[in-house]
Amino acid sequence: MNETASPPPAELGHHPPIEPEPGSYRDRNGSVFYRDGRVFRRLGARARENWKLLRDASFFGACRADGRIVDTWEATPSEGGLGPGILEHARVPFVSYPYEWPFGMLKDAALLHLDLMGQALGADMILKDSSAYNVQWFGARPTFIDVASFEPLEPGEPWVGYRQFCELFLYPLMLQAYKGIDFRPWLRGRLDGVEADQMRRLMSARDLLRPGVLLHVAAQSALQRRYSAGAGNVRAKLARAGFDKSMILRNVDKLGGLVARLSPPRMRTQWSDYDRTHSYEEAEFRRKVEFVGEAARHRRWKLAWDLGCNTGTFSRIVADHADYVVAMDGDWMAVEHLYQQQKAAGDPGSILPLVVDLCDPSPNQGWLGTERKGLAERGRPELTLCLALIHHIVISANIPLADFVRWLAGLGTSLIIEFVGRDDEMVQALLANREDQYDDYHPEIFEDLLATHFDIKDEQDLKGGRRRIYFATARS
Amino acid sequence: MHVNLRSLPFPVFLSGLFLGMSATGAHAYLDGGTGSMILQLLLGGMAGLAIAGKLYWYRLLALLGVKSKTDAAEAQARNTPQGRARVDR
Repeated sequence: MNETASPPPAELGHHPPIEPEPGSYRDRNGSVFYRDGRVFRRLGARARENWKLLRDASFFGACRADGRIVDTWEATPSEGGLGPGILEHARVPFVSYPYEWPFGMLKDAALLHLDLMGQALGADMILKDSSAYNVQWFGARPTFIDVASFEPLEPGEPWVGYRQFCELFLYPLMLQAYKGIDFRPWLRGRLDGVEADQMRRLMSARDLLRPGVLLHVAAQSALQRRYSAGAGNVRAKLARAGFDKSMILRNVDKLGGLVARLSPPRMRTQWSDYDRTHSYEEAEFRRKVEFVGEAARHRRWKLAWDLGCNTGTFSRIVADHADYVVAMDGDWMAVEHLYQQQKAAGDPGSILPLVVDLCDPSPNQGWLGTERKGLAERGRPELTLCLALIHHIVISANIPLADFVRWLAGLGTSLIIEFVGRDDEMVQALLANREDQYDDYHPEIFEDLLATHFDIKDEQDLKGGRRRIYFATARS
Repeated sequence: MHVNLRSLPFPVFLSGLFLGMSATGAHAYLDGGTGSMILQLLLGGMAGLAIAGKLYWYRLLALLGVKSKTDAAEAQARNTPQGRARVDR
C-alpha cells in the first residue's frame, strides 16, 4: 500500500459511540461500523491476512488511485479500544441501491465487478461474492466498497460468486434488454435478486437464442434443479478433476462481452423525446433558470435533492453550489439520459442520478427492516428542488397538498418549489380525464401551507402567472 | 409463445452429462450453488469441456460396473459445513 497516497492514519483515541452498519452482518470477517461520521471496517483474523495480500497487490493500488475501489487505509488503533485490524474507508456521499439505478448504472456496476474479478484473478485472488450492493457511486463514477470480498484463490476453486453475479447483475440486465421488463421492482422485491428458475420461466423459446440465455439461464436453472439436493463436495471434485483459474477467467471475459452488448430496446427509439423536456418558451425558461441559480447561491449546501429532476438541467445548476446533488425521477429513461450525459462529461462526482417514485419511495427493508434504508434515512437534504412536480404529486398521485408540504418540512430542508396553476396546460391535461376532487390545489392554499412551514425568501411569477416559483428556507 | 424448457433437449442433455458428478442423490443438505459451480465447466472453454468429458466417462464406467461408486462415501465424508459455498455480502 502506498502510504504517501493515503490520508493520515486515523486516530481512534476519543470515544464517540460506535454505530454498526445494519447491512453488513453477513460477513463476520469484515463488518462495517461508523464512528463520528467516519466509516470503518473491522477485520477478523482471516480477513486481516487477506487484506495484507490485497494491500500488496499492484492492481489494488491502481484501482484505489483511479477510484474503482473505494479509498481505504489502515486506521491506527489507540485507546479507543477497537483493537487491531481496523480499516477506514472514504465515505460514500449518498448510499444507493441497485433497485434505484437506471439500466446504464447497473450495467456499469456489472462491468466494474467483472473488471475487478479479472484484476484479482491476475494476482491469484478472487472476489468471494458478487453482490451488486458492493458497488456505490461518487456521482456517475462507480466504486467498489467491499475490500473484504477479496481473498486468495485456492487452487482448483470455482467462482463461488458466479450465481450471485447472475442473480443480481446479469438477469436483471437481461430482463430489461431482452424482455423490456423494468428490473427495479424485481430487485426491490427480492434483495438477493432474480433466481435462475424464475428467470428461465420468463424466457420464451425465442429468448433461448439470445446471447447468454441458453447457458447462463436455461442450463444453470436445469443444473440447479438437478443438484438441489447436493452432489457431495463439488468444489473438491472440481479441483481434483483439474478445474483451474483459466476457466474462471474465460467465463469472466465472456460475461464482460455479453454485458457490454446489452442495451434496453426502447432506449434506441425514444431517446430523442428527451431532448426537449419542458413546456416553456425560451425567455421564460431563462427566467426560471436565473431564479433557481440565484436561490442556490444563497449559501453552500452539503446535500441537495432534485425531486422530479427529469434530465437534470436544474441539478447541474444547483451542483455548482452544493457538495452533492441526488437527482431523482420516476422516469427511468430521463434518469438514464442524465447518467449517460454525466458520464460522457466526465462527471466530477457531483450528481447521483436515481430512479425514485416519490409516491412509492424505497422503504426500509431486509433483515430487521434495517438492512436497506429508506430514502430520507440515508442523508437529509439541506436544499430540495421541486420543479414542475407538485401537480404530479397532488393530481396524478392523489397525495393531499398539505401532506406533501409537511413531508418536505419534516426533512428540515430549504426549498425551491414551483406551483403549477390550474390554467397551465400540463395541469389541464392531467385533469382532462379524471374527476376534479382537488379542492386543496389552489395557489392561495399552497402559499399558506408554505408560509406555515417555511420562511419564504423570494418568489416570482412564471409563464404569465400560470406558474409561480418560490425560494423558502427551513424554519428552525 | 412460451415453451416449457423442461421439454427441450438441451437441459436434459446437460443433466445427463453431469450425472457423473453425483455418485448419489441421497445427501440431505441443500446447496443451491452446486449446479452453478458445475456449470462453470461448460463456461470454461475447451479445458472445462475436457474435464466434463472426463467426469462423464467415469460415470459411464460406473454404470457399466467397471468402476465402483466409491465417490459416494468419499463425498459424504467431505460433506462438512466448510465444504459448502460461502456467499457473503
